[in-house]
Amino acid sequence: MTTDRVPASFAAVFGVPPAVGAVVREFRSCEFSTLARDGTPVTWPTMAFFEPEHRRFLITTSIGLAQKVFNVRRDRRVAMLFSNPTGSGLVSPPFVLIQGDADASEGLMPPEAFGIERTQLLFERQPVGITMIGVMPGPVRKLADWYSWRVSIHVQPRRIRWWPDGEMDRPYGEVVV
Amino acid sequence: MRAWREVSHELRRYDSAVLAARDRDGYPVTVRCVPAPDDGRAAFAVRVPDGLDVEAGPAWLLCHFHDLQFWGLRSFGARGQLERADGGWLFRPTGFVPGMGGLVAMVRLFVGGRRRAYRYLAARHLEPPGVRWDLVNQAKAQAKRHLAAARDHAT
Repeated sequence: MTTDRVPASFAAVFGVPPAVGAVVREFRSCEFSTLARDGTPVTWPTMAFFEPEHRRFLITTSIGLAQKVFNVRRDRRVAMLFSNPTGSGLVSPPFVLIQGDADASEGLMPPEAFGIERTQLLFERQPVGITMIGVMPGPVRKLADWYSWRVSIHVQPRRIRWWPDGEMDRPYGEVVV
Repeated sequence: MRAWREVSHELRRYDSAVLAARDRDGYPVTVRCVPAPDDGRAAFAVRVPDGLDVEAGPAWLLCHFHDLQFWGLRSFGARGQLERADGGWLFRPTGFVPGMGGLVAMVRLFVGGRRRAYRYLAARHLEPPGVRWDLVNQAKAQAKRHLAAARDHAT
């Protein structure tokens, strides 16, 4: 593979330290916040995939768990905190807070759009999923079909902050996009 | 008071929590913290790093866990208010929100999720799209090969 075909990393795209890019790449989840109708920030763990060619993140959610989509359609302001390194293999990584503006698709996301590579990555990071699908009888699979009917949310970073060694009492680094 | 009791009870299962509030520009801002129960005020003292322009107002507390294999997921959330107190911050929960973890939560997720998904489709006059199991199986096979190769490489 030639170097010009290697996707740029988060660190290269936004000019942040490589350790920050590693967090975005390796953490299994981030804490994703959207704003409810009454203004309360609502936060749940979510998987986020960086798309370097678009300088944005892709988050998907089932239409059965679409509250974050409704929130984003009402108010685009969101935040993603990467603060749980479990399973990432990183030692003393920084915590990373990304605030940004999000857009949620109107229609359902075609399965092809999510891509084989990202689905493969999900299975590699959550190998129990391979077994679960393998042992799931057809009728049960049918009951779980709604989980794969998904809507996409794209997050454009506006402000990136990071705390070395995950110590949020220390001074942080910052890039305003 | 009930929300505070529920959060206090669940919080014991976690090392730390994520506090979400809003900053001066109205964006959500989130920090990891170790909430300290304040029984007298039915609230939790929380530390918020300097310089984030966090404002008092509606807030949220999240605790979540997964193991090294990204499994054993459990979580809960709490609505509340972030208040200034004694030169620091207090999170006062007003509502406990169950998340993942355990059989009851799993059943609630699947039954409720399925019902909401069909409602979403009906509201938009969409047909259930089906699932591309061929793509799922292809990804699964590739993941198995990749994991096996990584294991071989490690030994």
